[in-house]
Amino acid sequence: MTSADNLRAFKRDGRIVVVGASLAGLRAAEALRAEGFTGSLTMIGDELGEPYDRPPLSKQVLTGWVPAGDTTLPRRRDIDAEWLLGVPAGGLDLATNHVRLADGREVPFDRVLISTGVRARPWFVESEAALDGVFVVRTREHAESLRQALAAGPSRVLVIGAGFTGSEIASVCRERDIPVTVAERAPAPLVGALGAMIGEVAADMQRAHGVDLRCGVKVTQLEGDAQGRLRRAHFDDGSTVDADVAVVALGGIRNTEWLRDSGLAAGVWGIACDTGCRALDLNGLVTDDVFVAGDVARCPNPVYEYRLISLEHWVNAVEQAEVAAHNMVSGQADRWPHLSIPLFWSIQFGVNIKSVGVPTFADEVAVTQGSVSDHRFVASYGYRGRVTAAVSFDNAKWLDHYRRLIETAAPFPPPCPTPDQPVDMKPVPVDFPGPTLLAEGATVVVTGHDPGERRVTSAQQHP
Amino acid sequence: MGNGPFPLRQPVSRFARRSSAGFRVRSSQYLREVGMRIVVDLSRCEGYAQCAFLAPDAFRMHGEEALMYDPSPDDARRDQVLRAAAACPVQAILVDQLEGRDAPVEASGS
Amino acid sequence: MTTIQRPDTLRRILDYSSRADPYPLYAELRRTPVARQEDGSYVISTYRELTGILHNPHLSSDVRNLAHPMPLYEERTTPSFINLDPPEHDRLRRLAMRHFGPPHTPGLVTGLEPALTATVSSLADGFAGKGQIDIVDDFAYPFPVTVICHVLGVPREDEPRFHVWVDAIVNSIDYDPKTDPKEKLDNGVQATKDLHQYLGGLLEQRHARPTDDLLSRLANDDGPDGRMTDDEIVSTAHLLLIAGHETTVNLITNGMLTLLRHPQVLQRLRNEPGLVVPLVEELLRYEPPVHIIPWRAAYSDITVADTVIPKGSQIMLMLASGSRDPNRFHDPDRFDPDRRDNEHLGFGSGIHLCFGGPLARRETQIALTELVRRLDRPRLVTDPPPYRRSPVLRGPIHLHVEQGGG
Repeated sequence: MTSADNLRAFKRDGRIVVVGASLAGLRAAEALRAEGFTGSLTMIGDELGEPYDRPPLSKQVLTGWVPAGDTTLPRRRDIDAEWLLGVPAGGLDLATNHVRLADGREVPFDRVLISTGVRARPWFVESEAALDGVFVVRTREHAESLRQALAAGPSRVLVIGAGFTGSEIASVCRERDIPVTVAERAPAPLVGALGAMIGEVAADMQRAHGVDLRCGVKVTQLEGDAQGRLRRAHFDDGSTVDADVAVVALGGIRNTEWLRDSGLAAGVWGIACDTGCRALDLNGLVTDDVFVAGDVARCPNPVYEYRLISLEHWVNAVEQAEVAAHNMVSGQADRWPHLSIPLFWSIQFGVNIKSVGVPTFADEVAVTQGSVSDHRFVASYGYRGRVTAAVSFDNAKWLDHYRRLIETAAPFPPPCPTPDQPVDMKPVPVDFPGPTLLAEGATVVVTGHDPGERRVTSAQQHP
Repeated sequence: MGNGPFPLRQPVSRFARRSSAGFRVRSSQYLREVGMRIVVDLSRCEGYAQCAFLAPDAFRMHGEEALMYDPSPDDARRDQVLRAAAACPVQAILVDQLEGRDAPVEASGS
Repeated sequence: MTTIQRPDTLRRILDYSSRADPYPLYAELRRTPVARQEDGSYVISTYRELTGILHNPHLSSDVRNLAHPMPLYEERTTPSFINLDPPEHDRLRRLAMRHFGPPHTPGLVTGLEPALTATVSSLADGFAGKGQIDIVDDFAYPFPVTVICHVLGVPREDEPRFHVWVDAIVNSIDYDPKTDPKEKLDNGVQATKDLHQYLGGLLEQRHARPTDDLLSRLANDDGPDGRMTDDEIVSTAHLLLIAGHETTVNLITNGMLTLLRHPQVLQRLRNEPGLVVPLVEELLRYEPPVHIIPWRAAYSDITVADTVIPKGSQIMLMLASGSRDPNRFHDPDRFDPDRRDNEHLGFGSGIHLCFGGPLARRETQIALTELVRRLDRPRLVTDPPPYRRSPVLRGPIHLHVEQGGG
């Protein structure tokens, strides 16, 4: 049989297993059917129910407008799949091509797509995390619990972490007229993603809407009462805040532990893959039958010096799913690279924040359009003299232009003025605190001497 | 259901019958019997607000440019929502293409 | 490429003789996506280049940024937001939108629907017993005029007065000093003055006795951006009055013409009223009411498709050509109401996207639904129908339709 015959047979009768039945998994399954795959398709997911959309959970759901159970994703087509829900995957055996479920069952495959995503990072002290009134927001159960807590009219909400999710939750609290304190270790909100200058704007917005914003502080203890209810938080500067609700918004943990013994290049940083979404094994060799998409994928981007980048962005999940699905049922010559410029949005304090590109891949930033004080502007980011990202506050209609600038490696700062360019436009250092993209590495040990026996083992342990 | 143009589908896919994975029950915890399903690709959305003009119960502007929407709008608003989706200048609104569908099933009988 | 390979293509498009079918000439134009003209201006005609430049912040809508200012606009005192750039454009459009749509007035268009239906129905009542109908004069013109008068607060009975001014203004939009008599321009300038004086009079009344219309709300605004000046209100009302009926009349008429040319689709629309929604989107792509944005200005050098358009250049945007670009739309010259992925340029794109688009959509959806329901076996009397002069706001001046037995 030729490889073309093999491919035809696989598309007709093959077995594809998708591990992770959320946005990326669903869109991949739909794309597989759209590409003409008629074999068996199995969807494995640790949550019950149909795939649902997560962005509304920290917005419309918490405001009380939309019930948490109402964010089920619409379908593009029938996927005719077998759904194995409610049990997470426990392992991947690439010698025999089986996924092992946590309850011991084994699911065979010819090709597998891994889209297990991330979970919420819990509060680091288990007993404190278990207090009544302490929440995370990742699943709809989380969102429903928090919505009920907000509806009960808490005296104060403490949001721990002023990234996008934490800031959105603080915004909802103010919209519901609930007193809210935001605690952030960095000097300002959003600073880890967008840098110091935008962080200052975000801080202004929060304070203007009545948020008690405390930056440069660390929450050291969540204190409960005798009934196990949260009553107070302690900070490392010795101060305290009385609150009956705390939302832990400290980012996510990638769901890769189940791949520990799989031989894939998987770890806390995600699962490395090529631009075709094919997973790399520990040695950095591309696998043929294992594909990755969504929050858990760590994919090289040629625009950013081929750095491996993991993105927890909605549209990244959709696009990687489509690329992975296409490549799962295509021959080598027909494969697509995932070459999109990253896009992200957040809605908070009545402002639409969008970004294009990778703002952390930058050394300078300049406001190129609009007015920072009005919270209506575009800032563009540059790295060694070229545009690498842009962020808009209520100016989304211009972002596509900046995408083109990034794609064409246009000079930074942009040499040509626009009618709404601030008169004092001047690039400033982007100033990211803590680990940036450049420091986000994987640690491995290389062994062996002959080319045929040199191998890599992972030196980085899962937490 | 059955109010849409598509016939009700078999609740369990054909693979369920020949699978060895065992006992299944239909998950209904998050399935509602009425309502449309939509999702907006907000990375495409540029805040033109055409949807919020045409289906103001389902699409609301939060400030000048940020869109919030009801992912499961009332079926009584179906016509408005379809008009809103058609009018989106960047075609960012996806309306469910299936109305009665193969519902997912649970993996374990517990 | 910036060749001048077909120097006469644009001239032939603007010439009245190609009004009935400019589309083959658009195809010719698209061979050079960015075409420099002999006078130093640029014509952009392909989809990707058009969407790109409409999102390019270096493209200016302010005549003051043209190296060679255009004659008509120098006469204007206060430009409306369609002829301004951010941040002024954004402020004025936001102020106008406060009283027309989301986020502050989200229910205005849906709230108008009963009135739209009633207006359309009473116009269609006039068809009864008539063997021949002019879709333009009997229906597609009076309908949106009634609506925009109601929304703005302009007395419907003044229509004969402002109709003359609006005609002269629309006629002067594409004034070309090289080919057109100076009179065409002068008429436009005088009509603008007359219309502004008229609208200024109405505004004075609204200051004294506010009602619930847009003029009153603009005159008495107290939002976060403050209030428009009276000159700004008059310019805004001027824009909305013209755009509010000079475009929708074309969309409705082009729609009926297209349906009569596609009888299977007309029959389908009778049986499936929901079809009107994608059908109007397809109409906006296939026979849009606005064909050309006659000028924009390069605020600084703009690179489009490897061509550098120098600062100060005049740029003409051929929207209707972009919506027929085969590199973006499959089988673009086919009218297909089931078309998916229909990101047409019928209302433009970017920050100047049509202000009244949602209202125009609902007017046209309701109008076409009622027309196919009420007309009895309609037939075109002449095909093509006679067209209005303007290549910019393109549509039939009359659309005679026979109905009933015979």
